[in-house]
Amino acid sequence: MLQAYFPVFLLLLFGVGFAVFTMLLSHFIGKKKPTPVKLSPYECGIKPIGTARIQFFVKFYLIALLFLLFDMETIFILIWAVAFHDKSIQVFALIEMVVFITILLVGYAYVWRKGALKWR
Amino acid sequence: MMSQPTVPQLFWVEVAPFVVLCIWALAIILADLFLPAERRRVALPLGFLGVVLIAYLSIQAFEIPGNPFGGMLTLDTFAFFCIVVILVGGGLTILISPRYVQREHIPHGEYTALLLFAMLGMILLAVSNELITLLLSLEILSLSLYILTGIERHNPRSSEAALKYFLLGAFSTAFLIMGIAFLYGATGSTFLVTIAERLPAAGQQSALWVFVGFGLILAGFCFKLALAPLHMWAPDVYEGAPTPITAFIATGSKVAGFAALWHVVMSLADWQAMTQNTFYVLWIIAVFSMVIGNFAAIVQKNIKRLLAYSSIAHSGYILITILVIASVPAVRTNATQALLYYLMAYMLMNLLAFGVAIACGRKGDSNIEHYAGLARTSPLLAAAMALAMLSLTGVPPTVGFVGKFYIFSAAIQAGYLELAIIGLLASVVSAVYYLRVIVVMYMHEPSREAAETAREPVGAANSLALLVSSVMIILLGIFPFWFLGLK
Repeated sequence: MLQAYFPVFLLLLFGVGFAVFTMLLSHFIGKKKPTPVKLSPYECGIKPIGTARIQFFVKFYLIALLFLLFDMETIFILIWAVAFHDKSIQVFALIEMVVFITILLVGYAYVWRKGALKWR
Repeated sequence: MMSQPTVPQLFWVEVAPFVVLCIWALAIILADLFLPAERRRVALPLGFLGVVLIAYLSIQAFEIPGNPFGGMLTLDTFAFFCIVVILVGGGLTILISPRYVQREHIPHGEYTALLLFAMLGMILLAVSNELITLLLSLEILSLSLYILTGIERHNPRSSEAALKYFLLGAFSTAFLIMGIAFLYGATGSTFLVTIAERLPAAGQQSALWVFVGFGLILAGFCFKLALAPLHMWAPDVYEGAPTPITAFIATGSKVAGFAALWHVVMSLADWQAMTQNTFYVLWIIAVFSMVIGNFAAIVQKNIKRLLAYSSIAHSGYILITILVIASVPAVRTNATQALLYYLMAYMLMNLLAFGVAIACGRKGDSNIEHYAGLARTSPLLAAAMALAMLSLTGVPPTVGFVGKFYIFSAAIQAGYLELAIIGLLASVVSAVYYLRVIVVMYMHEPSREAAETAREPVGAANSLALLVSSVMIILLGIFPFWFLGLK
């Protein structure tokens, strides 16, 4: 039964192998001429100021969390959409999705009314 | 090999309790959002109304045994009893809440809605007959309880408890998922019924996967039920959580957890290889829970920590029934009855104890010394607490006695005399700390401060909850068949 997963294992092997191979390749055949600018952290071309380990506004965290939540729900909708073409379950699936979205909407209303979307 | 998707047949009566409970909780969230601030207190009474409604719908749903949601749920007699216990526990929890919620400035809407969601998780757990459904219900339950534990946001202890509970709980869920994956890998199904059918045909290698899987699932449950090697979270979480929520975690989640464990064990129990190998594991867990819980409780000074260790010990007693069910088919019916009765008993006496703790606790104070002379300042509360403590010890004619009697007699019928003896000795040890609470209440002088300051009134709802649970503790202790004869 484990043989059924052999392609998955191959894919894993190939994925990891490819990354390791290219990195090793550039490590061994690339030329290295370090300058201070090259060694500095990459920040979209702007000169880096201080370290990245600073306190930042907790509001970012909340927004990121909410984004993540509602983003995750799209993944569920994607799977549903793939299965939707099957004629025998279409009506049922549509009702199910309406239920799902309605529950999500309650959550959205909660977030909205509590002012979590306001930047203050 | 992909099976054609089919629309599962749904009968409204069968799914009504679960669907309506979900809608009810969502409606409470919405009502809380759009009501003016001074009318938001309506959430708790609404929640109680919801529990009564669900109780009615459940009775209807269980008229005929059924398997709604494509066989993922099973409405059988066992589940019916569990749901009765969970709904009584949930209802009593809502009744003991109002004063506390008011005093600690907990948001009413979120509190009630999360409590109902936790109950939804519990009743789904009690009926789930499929591993994915089981996992999902457990997560509905756990996530609601994590938030409820930390809902006193101004109180750092509450946040600490929530964080500990969440991190360890998430970790234990990982064990559970891994265990489910192993079981699925070995048998090719997540339906417990199908797993039970395919097990006897399992080869040597699959058998190993089943053991690993069951071990991991058991580890996950041990955490949720606060059983011995994985009980460390319980005292801290019980102490930090808001008191009504502590009561709810101690009672409801245990009932639901044992119900789910029963389902899993029942599906594996008919397989000969399983019973021999799991026996010692369950034996060790049960004995360790009873011993550690009871001995650690002796030195506790805080009533909530004391009840936390006592709940670990009680989980140990209850696990004896699971052990008997797993290994001796002949005593299975008796052990299941003992399990159900003890869950009911345990829930009633714990809710009574926590109810009294709420009624006479002032802000952040749950030290046992605080109960000194309670018998003089408020005799009724002291009597209720004494009843709870006696019942937890197992003194007749209370439910605690009959519950322990059922469990130990099941153990003896199954031939596990040593377990019954260890359990009895552990109960004797437990008398030390339960009776100490009574001694403090009845024989110590009240502190001057306590004698002079008037207590807050207990409140009608909480009084009702205390009265109901006291009466039930005595009545069901004298007439145990009132409960066991329900169906």
